[in-house]
Amino acid sequence: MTHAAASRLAKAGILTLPATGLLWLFNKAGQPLGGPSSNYMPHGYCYMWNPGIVWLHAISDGLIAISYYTIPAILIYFIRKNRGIPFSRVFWMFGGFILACGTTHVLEIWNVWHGDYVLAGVVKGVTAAISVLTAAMLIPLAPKALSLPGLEVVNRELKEQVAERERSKATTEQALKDLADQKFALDQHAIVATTDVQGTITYVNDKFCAISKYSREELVGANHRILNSSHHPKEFFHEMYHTIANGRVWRGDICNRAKDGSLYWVDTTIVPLLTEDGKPRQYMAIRADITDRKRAEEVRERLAAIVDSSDDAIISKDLNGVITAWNQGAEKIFGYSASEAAGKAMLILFPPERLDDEAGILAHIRKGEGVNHFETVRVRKDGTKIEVSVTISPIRDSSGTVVGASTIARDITERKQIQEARLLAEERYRRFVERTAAGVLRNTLDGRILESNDAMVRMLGYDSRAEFLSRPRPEIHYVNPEERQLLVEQLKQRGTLNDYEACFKRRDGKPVWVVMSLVLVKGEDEAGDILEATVIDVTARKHAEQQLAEQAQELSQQAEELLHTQREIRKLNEKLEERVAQRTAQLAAANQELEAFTYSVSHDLRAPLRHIGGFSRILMEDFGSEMNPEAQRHLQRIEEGVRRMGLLVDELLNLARVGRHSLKLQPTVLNPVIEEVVSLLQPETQDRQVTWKIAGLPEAQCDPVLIKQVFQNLIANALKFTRPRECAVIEIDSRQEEEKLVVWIRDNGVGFDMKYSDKLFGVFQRLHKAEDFEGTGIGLATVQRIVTKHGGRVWADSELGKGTTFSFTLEPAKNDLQENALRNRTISTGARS
Amino acid sequence: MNANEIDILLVDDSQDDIDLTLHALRAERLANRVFVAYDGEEALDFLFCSGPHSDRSFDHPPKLILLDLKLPKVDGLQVLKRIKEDERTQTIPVVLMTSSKEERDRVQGYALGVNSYLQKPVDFEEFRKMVKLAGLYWLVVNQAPVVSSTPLAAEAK
Repeated sequence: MTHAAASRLAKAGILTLPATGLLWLFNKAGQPLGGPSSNYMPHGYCYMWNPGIVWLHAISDGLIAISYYTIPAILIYFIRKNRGIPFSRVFWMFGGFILACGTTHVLEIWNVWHGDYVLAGVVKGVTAAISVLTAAMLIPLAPKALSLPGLEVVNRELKEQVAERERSKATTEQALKDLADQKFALDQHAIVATTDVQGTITYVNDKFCAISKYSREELVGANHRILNSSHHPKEFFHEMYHTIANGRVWRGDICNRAKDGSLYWVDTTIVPLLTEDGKPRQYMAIRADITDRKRAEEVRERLAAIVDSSDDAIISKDLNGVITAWNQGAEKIFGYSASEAAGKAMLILFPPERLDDEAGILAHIRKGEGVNHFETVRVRKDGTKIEVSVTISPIRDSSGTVVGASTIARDITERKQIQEARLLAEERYRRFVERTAAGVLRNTLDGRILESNDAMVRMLGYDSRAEFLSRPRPEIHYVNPEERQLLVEQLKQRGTLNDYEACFKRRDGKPVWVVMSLVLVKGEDEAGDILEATVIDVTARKHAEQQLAEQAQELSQQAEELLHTQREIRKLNEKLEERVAQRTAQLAAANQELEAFTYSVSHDLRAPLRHIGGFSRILMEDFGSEMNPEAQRHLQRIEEGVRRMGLLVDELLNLARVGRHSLKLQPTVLNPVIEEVVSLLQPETQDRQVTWKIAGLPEAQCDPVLIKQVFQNLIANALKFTRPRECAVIEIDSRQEEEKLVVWIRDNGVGFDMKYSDKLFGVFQRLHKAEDFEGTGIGLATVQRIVTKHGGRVWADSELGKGTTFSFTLEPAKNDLQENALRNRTISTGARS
Repeated sequence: MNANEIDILLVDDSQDDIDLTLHALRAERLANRVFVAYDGEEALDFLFCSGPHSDRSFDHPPKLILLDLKLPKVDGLQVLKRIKEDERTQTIPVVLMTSSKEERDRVQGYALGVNSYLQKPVDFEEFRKMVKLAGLYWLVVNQAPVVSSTPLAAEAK
């Protein structure tokens, strides 16, 4: 075979060689590609590139290599499949040794064309190392290998094994039968299903179908979740899947939903069936129907809840009186918590004086007897006593033996209080009814008196209530026997009657006037409709009314008379008023006349005086020389008379004017007034020695015009009566006397006898002869009138020959200028002439 | 007596008072040109040239009027009022002479514009003194309005 042919051959068939590197090496049909890859001569040259030899070697080496590579692969497969093989490590080593040998052959082929002898050497080295190691391992194994049974032994063993197999087959068959039986039994008893790891149902038994109400066809292939009832929370299933997914058995109660929607409870055991490597392969669920049990439990729980939530205390105790159960009601009523009470003696609830009761109760219970609704007193935890109603019943076990007692206690403290309050209220109303002055009656419509109070009995003159109630016929109580029937008819129509007036007949026959309020009460009493009446005795009032009527009659007569009198009085009054008006008018007229008189005095009287005086004077002047001295003296007398008359008229006018003058009170400084008066009187003091001692006077509350008149008259008086004195001394001063201001004017004049002092202030009263002291007798009267008009008084102190002091009182000024006045006191005490 | 040349118009109803007044005036040589009216009506007639005095001229009004308060027919205060209300006469000095000491008369008189108010004293000496003083004062001492007669004279034409 030529090089090219080899190459072709290579192209055609050696491509299956396992070493991929060979592919390009053979591209030039036996010629190395791009020359040799090393400096060594390829083995082919040893073969002289004789294609026969070359390919013989190459193919042989190739086949050897293929074979060598195949052997370890088979070995590994063998080892893996047959775990029971001993010395597996040696097998591994052997495999490696053969693999290395194969590789040396591959390199043989390679070196035909390439000459990589270093590589080939290395591979051979590795192969040698593995060979040595394998041999080394084999040596110690030899004795062990020798101990392995020999072929005959193996044969015998095989026969035994076959026999054994036969036996075991029988046993297995028996076991399978047993298993089937057990399965049957299981299916009879339990609800069984299997699912794959995804939960898809792979098997169900009849009971499963029966309880779930699905057909087997519906179930198998469906996910187990179709039975989920939503009763359980997600965590419940998480925990379950977590358990079984980890290869552990799960057990629990599951509520499932049947096809028709009904729920059923199953006690479930899920067993994961595992693969060889311990992973769940499928799950087997074995269940028992516990729906009834669950229902019973629910009922029991509900009952327990009822017991617990009851407001009544529900307590159980054993026959020794030790508390075994204690509900919330008991906690509330007695104050002990369940944990506090459990195990304690029932006696903790008994008040000291009733401790002995418990023994009796327990004795009853032991006999199987209960105690119903008996009211007693118990003690709370805080020591307060409470009224309770207790029912105690024996508790029996399933065999009927009494094992304890249940106590149901209800707090009736409040009920007791209400009861007592009601009794009290009833008592109060009874007392009220009994004590009221009004009569109270209850009777049937046909007149049978059921109840009455003592007031009623007394009103009708009976001695006792019993006697009154025993009177059979009600009509006898009426003066007019038909009246009762009338009253009943009215009452039937209206239901109530108020202020119904009637006349009863007392037992002694005397009439009693009454006013009644009546009510018809229906259907409250077994005696039928009842008439309730409140009766007030108005006999006295009736009498009083009669008397009143008579009195009223009398009164109206008197009133008539009174009216008559009144009319007369009115007439008289009218007359009186008329007269008053007349008088007033007369008085006004008189006043007017007086004024007119004053006016005419001032005007008309003065004019003739002036004429008389005037013509006398003319007569004197023009004809005096022709008259004898006697006639002249007469004329002078006429003139003197005229002058006096003039004075008199002026002073009278003054006096009258004071009367009419309306008082204008104001704070008045008195000193300037005095000074003005003194200067007015200047003509009087000419040619005379007069010493003035005028103190500073306080302000006075007075009419300045009128007070000036007072000073004028008094000072003029003083000047007049001091005329005989060589040196006249006139003092004016004041003093405070009980809130009044006393002003006084003192002179050292002739004075007067005090026995005439009462005449001093009278009009036209004079104490001196006109020849000695001229005067009209009006000046002091005017002074008195003015002072009196001011609310003050005036008086004089005098001693004949020594002098006179005139004093008068005034109100001090309202605005308090006393200080000013005091400051002014220092002025003008010096003499003036 | 020429009614057009009058210095004083004396109005009084009392002949006594008139005589005494004239006596007093005469002593001072003031009584020559005096016209006496005996009541208020006559005084007004004289002043306003009416009634019996309608022939009188406005050209010569009196230089002084001595007026009593209590007068027949027209009261003194009424006369005063008419005099002081009328432009033609209001400049003539009017002296009220009365016996009355009544303050209200005085107040009313001044309110109506009287030029002087005199109370006739009872004593004749004093009376005489007073009349003399008043006459001299108003006719001699006092300066009358310059041409007091002019408005009246003008009106008369």
